[in-house]
Amino acid sequence: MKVSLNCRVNGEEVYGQIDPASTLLGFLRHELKLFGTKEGCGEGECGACTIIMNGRAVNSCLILAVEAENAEITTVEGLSRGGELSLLQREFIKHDALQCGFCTPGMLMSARALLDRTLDPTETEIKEAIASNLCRCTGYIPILEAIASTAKLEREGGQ
Amino acid sequence: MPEECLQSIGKPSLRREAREKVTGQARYVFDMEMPGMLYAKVLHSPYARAEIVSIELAEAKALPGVKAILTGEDLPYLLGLYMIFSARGRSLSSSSRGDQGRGKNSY
Amino acid sequence: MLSEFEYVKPRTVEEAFTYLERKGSRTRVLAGGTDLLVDLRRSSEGPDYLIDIKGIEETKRLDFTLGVGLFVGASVSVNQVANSEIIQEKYQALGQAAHTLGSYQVRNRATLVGNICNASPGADLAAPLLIHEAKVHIAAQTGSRTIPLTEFFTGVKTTRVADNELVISISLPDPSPGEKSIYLKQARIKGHDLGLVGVAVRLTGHKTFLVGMSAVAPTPVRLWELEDILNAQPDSPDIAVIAGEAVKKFIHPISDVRASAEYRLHIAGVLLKRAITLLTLTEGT
Repeated sequence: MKVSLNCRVNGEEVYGQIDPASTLLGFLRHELKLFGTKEGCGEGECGACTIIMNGRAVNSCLILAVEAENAEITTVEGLSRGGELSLLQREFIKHDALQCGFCTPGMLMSARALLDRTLDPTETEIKEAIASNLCRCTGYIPILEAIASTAKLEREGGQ
Repeated sequence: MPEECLQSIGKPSLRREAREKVTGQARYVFDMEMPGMLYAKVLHSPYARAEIVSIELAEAKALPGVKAILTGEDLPYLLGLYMIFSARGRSLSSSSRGDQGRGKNSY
Repeated sequence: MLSEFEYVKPRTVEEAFTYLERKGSRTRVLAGGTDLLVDLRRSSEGPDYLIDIKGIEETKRLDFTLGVGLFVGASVSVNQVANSEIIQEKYQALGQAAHTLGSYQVRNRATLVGNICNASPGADLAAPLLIHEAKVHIAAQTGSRTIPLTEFFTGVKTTRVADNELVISISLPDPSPGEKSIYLKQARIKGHDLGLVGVAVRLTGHKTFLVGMSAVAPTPVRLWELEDILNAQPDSPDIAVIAGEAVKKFIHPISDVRASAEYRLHIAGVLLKRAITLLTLTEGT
């Protein structure tokens, strides 16, 4: 028995008829065709499915789609505006903070949520923010540098 | 060599596909969708080196949504260079329980 | 997910009861979902109803009243607990434990009450709540009751909550002035990991020790006998060392995929000694 869902995804009103047992991750990928958000484990351990919901970084694999009723959701597709990469995305490229790129959408969303909380995060806070975004390629250092660099530039008024 | 002469060595090299990856546009196999497609999952042996005594499929086959189950029996040949599936040949019926198709598996 | 269920989001506790009364054993309560959804994925049999309690206003309350204490509703997230200034001030062990639970993303959804109701032997928030004398408020159509957290856990992942009941909130009494508490957790990695051992110690203004531990027994536990030993000699300069040794008589951890019983026993002693050292160190300043 399907239920209805109304929410805002990347600034757009979205309406769907969904199976109550479907996850928000499944809804974003298979209904909205927003494949940027990835599934790594389906258990909230790897962070590949991280999105921002009502201002908070969350694992979309652990949220039922129905729980997103009236929610404000941002996925990696919502970071760039009108085809223009955001500063955060540009810094990730510049610092080579990605290789295979599978963890990248989740990393970007955790980073974005952190910077929305504070533009002056300590190294510990950056590490805590991405502690559960697993990356097998980069060794994390370039990612930490990209986030720290973005924080500094955004503090100085960059976007 | 003075650094100004070097074009690539020691210079940053921007990843060509970086843009697709940071915007979520990059398509991985996991993102591909085709009409009527099925999803496969591999069940691994919990033991690195052991003999397969039996494989019971009935309960798994009965689960809703299961279209097919493949075991080594169905693939009695070499795959690629390295992978050989075991439990080949004999069927696993209860009447021949004492003499079932035995196989070894090793990683 | 293979489960098929009806999802309901009651606005009031009474509305929630109607579902619980109708199909208690075939309902699951959804708050943060960080344990429940993993559970649902792993089993082919699911509940008939999923009751999302996040629509019930009173479950969202997190407040402190001087002279009364702390009130934590069932929908309050672990990050809310971790970021709460009053909790950092008055219930330090709880705030510290909240920071170690899961990951940042998980903490944005997981709830304090959910952590208790899931009743894992290693529940991160249990030991701090035990030493701060938490009470659990359980409601049903047939009436409400309040029980001390020390009587709440009955076994591995089992509690006293009946099928037709709902845990609405947890409350902690206002601690006396000058109190300190601490939570130490040993895990395999710095990031997201279950605790191998969790130790919570509280030193009241009257120089009384309260000690709680997780992952050393089928349920999180208060170490009453150990407390008696410590409180008979609270001023002893070797109290931390004494505690670190004595505790091994009162806990019986098991070996599992994460650690051996011997390691848990050893590390419990180490963490307890460290916790008491830190508490008594800062006490004089």
